[in-house]
Amino acid sequence: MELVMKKKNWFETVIVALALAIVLGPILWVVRVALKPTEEYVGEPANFGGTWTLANLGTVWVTGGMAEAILHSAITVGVGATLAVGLAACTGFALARYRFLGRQLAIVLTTGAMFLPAAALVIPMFELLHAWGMLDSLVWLGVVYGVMFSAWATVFMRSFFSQLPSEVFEAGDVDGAGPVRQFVSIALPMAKPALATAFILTCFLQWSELLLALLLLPSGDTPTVAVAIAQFSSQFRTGGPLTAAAMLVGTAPVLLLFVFGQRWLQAGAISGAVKD
Amino acid sequence: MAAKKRPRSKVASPGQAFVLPQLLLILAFIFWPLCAVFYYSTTQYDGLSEPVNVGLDNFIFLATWPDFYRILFNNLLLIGGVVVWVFVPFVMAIAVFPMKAASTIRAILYIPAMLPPIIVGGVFRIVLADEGPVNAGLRAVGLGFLAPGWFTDPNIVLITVVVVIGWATLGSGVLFYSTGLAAISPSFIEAAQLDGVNRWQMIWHIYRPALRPITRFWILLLTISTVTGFFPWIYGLTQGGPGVASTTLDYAVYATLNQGSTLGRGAAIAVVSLVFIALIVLIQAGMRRIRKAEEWN
Repeated sequence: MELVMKKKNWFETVIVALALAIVLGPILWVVRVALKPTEEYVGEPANFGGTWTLANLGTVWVTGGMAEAILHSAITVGVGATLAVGLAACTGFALARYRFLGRQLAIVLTTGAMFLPAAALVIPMFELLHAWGMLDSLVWLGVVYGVMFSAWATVFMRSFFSQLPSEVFEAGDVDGAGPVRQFVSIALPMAKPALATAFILTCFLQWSELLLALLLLPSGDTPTVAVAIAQFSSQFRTGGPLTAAAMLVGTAPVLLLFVFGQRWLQAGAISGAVKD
Repeated sequence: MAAKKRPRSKVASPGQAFVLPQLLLILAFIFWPLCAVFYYSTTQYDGLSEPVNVGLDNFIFLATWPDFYRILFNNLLLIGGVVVWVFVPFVMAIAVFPMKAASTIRAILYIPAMLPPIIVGGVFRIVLADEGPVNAGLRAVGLGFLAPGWFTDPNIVLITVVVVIGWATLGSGVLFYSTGLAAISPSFIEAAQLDGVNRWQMIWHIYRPALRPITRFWILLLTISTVTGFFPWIYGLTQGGPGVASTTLDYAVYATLNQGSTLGRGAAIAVVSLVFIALIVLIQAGMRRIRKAEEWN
């Protein structure tokens, strides 16, 4: 029996094995390069063997400015994710719970915002922030991110609140709880896992964002992680061990976020996906 | 305070108060810039002195700029990449699904999805470097002629970008398709197997229609996450080069803004990119409508 199964599934086994190799290969290779002295890499960029060292990680952390970059990103992402999730919770709650004049407009504006490429908006955004003295500010970049990515979070929160049975709110009506009270005391506590998922997803989107971070922090004094890595890789276009080490350090926080948030992410992402 | 309004007018509702903060911020930070970019596209503007109205000059410039056609072509070709980014995870999800270690395999395939595009770009700058491991490996087994300049050959560079984005998005696609596969009734599959349906018939006649909602969702997600923002991929992988061989519309906007003095021209490119996205969304909606009509018949 087993033999028959094996024979039947050889094709699947081969392509899956190939996919795993193609996915893991480049990652392992870059980890290897990050742990190699630069002089060794320059001579033989295709050699996996040689000396192993942690020195590059220390270099990019201290003199390479990755420690500061992570702090900068944390400020921006913290402001942005909090704002995005806060706005999305309010809007998602309203769209799921109430039928009101302007509801359709609210849906169109929030959904439409997701389709707008940042590149199309960046010139006026630059002018706007410049006029108000908000350029080069990590907090204001976080606000811009928060507004941009709130559209994603809103779609998610709306679908979550729509799935809640309306009885829980009707009970609130009977008890004389007003809309604000219902939102704060009933909706938000029930939405904790969804809020956490939305928070993590918007964190990730912001951590990856590059265009606005490059253009709205024009002095370059307070680079985010994405900008710092971009600078590293423009300096060393061929990508030496220092670039690899910076990428390793710059990914660590996102990976930690995913690991700690996994519980919520799986449940949330899947319920959002199958909805259609 | 919102509750007070309710008795006076039927149209007022607490809902409006709850959506107001987000709508105001979206109007200020997204829709105001959206309107302004149309205005800037009709001006000559260097960022310092006041913008001067020049009508459609910027667009006329773009129409007569040979590189611009290559940039449009690049965008089109990369959007064609969606076919690859959908098909590969679709097949992979079906192949992985019945395996014992399916959830472990999916978790491993998902790792690249957690990496920011700029880092994925850096990874492949190293792996696909001229003297890097992939090319060295190809040469070692006598396939040196297959070891191209992944980033330096203008005919190859876009394929490199498509493949790299495919690498990075594979895991998410597999995850979404797997949730779809889990929802297909096993008796459906068994019935087909009893009828002696082969692997390809199975994929085409059973899985493809059953997973259509997932495909739709995945294409939408790719559209809003990747098609509206090729920039970080291009920046990380090629910086638009060689020449403009991999420059996309959003990279071109960045380049003009970075050089500083031709912001009006940059805004015109931005407007073209908006038209581009609008066309894609319309085409997708149109295709969906046609398909619905067909299903009706």
